[in-house]
Amino acid sequence: MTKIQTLKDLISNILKKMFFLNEETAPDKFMETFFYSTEITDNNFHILLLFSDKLACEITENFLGFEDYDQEDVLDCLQEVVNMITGNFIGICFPEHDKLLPFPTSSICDTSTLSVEEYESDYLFYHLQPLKILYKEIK
Amino acid sequence: MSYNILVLDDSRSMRKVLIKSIKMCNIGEVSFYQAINGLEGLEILKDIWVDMIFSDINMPEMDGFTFVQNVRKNDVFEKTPIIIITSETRQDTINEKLNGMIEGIILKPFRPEEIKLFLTEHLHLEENTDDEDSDFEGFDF
Repeated sequence: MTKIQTLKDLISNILKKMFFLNEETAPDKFMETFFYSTEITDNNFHILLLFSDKLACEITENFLGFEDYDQEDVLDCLQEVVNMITGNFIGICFPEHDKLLPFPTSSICDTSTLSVEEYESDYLFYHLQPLKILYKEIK
Repeated sequence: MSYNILVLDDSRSMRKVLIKSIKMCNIGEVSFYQAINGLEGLEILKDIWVDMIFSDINMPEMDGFTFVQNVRKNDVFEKTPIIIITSETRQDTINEKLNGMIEGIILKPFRPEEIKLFLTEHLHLEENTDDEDSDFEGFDF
């Protein structure tokens, strides 16, 4: 299995188990509009996830269990998402990795300045909202 | 019965979720103390007796490994149950560094039932098999 497929399966499982979101089949057409990004950079790889505003808010609401959250909560939840994914990903793909996980970051993204040519990419879909997965190995 | 529980995680949302999960176990009155890293956790322990500690590993300034090692140097907290909650799936590494110093590891993502198991065991609660007193049905974090 490729690393990005492993990543995709992990994201699907984690969003289901702790964020109560069930992956849907890909729609024929979708709007690739993203508002939030969260990422983690390790010596071996870079993982970048892009979320629509609606999907990021749904993740936050499901995780915290209340609707009265703010943007800081959203950014914090997305960091927790990528943190869980990376911990599990390293355990599978880089078991010899002997350092602590790097700290994740999240932000409101500006996709117009995002250069993603070097990345492998894939999508997951939730309520017709795409979650874009970008992965790059660092040699 | 009332308890003091210390929760360490640099993620505000994860602390909220963990506290909510503990509350859902309906173990009685609980006072929660929160820290964003090991240093803050040690500061809290200077003034407060706690019955149980849930700690992340990967935190800025002082990680969970150093925190646990420092806690165990203090005779007062020599036997306080410490549960590690982490995204680090390499349990060998955790066990190697904290050999015999912790009571358990919960891997993220977790379910609240896993939290309840540790609470029941280490706070010596009576196990409620039909879970009448828990709020897990239709559970939402």
